[in-house]
Amino acid sequence: MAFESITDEFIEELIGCRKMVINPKTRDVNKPGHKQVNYIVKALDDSGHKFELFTRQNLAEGMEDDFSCGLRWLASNGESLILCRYNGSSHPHRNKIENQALGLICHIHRATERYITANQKPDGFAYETDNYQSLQEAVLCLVRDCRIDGLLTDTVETNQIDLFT
Amino acid sequence: MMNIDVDILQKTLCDAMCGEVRVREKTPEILAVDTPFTFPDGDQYQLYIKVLPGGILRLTDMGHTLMHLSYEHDIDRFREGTRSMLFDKIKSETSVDEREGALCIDSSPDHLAIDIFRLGQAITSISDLGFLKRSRVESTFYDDLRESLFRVVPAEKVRKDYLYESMDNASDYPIDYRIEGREAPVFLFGIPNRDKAKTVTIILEHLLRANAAFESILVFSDQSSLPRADLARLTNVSDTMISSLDAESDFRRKLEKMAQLN
Repeated sequence: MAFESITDEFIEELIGCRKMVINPKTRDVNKPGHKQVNYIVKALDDSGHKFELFTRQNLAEGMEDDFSCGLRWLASNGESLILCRYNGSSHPHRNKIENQALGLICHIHRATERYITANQKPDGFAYETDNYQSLQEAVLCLVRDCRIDGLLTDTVETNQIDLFT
Repeated sequence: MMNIDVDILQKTLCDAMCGEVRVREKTPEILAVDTPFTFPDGDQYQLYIKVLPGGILRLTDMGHTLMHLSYEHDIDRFREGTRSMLFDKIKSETSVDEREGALCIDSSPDHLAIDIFRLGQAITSISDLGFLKRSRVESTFYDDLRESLFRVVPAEKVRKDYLYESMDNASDYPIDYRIEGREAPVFLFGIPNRDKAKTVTIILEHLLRANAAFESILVFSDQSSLPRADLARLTNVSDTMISSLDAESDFRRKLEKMAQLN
């Protein structure tokens, strides 16, 4: 499938369908300089869509605000597309098409038809958010926004009470 | 020569470039340097200065670049084969070191500006390793495969994205191309990466379990880049393989044996 033909409606459909984490007990993996986790996620409807939920945290001292988590759609032909990505506040961001700069604030990248059509990075558009300040909180926002069930660590459950009640 | 005052132009350019650079304190130990350099997704390169004993200014990305690449790439593959060679070459050409995943240059106040450019150049080149590979395997590969296929087999003998309907849940097991065969239909799969290799293994196993009559031909973007275990599983369930599209004469020879060409 060529991503050039993907529409905003289809991206919304992918983000909005109910999903389930298949391997919630996957362990953190330490890579040089950062920690990462990749979860397998499947759509609960009959679409058969598969996804990857990924989290990344910079481990260097003073870089706690350098984190990201996102949802990647794994197309059946082996291609993949990052649908959304929740970033920390460690760096500024620039929306290239709009020529709009975001400062040192948490921001959410989102795949858009506009950026795909313009031959830019599909997830090149981002908008500011104050809904989270840490990776843990960002993951909670991500699973809520993308309707992902099954990620139920003790920590997440505890924070869910704080965030959503 | 155009009627331009070079001195004024230089001053204007220097002022403009300086205006794009800002140094701020991130923590008491780390200074952040904001520049116009950005990743393809619009996120700014993360450049920092740590003051070390002896007046050394360590310019570093604090490990962000590799983390950024890991969103879409298995960064362990930057330590293997061709990618590893290119990665080392970039570091060598830009005189950049790598410490615990962080790209860095030990600099001095006099050399700081030029070293910021060098580190920025290294980050760009290293990011391009991932971008170029991804672009080649995920986009150009399928285009190239299609072109190679239709150079050998007439279009009317080929069905793209074929589903073998005699099997349960056929839509879960799509076949890239079905080609009219001499003995049996030929199912062709393009394999640009490890994920697709695993998917094709599963699809072929299901087809075999459903007693489907077919011959398979698998075309890799780069067979040598696949882990041995993945390749071994795939070999067990497949009939014919082409290691890369560069082996065009082999691709043609094997296809001509299996497919109906007229």
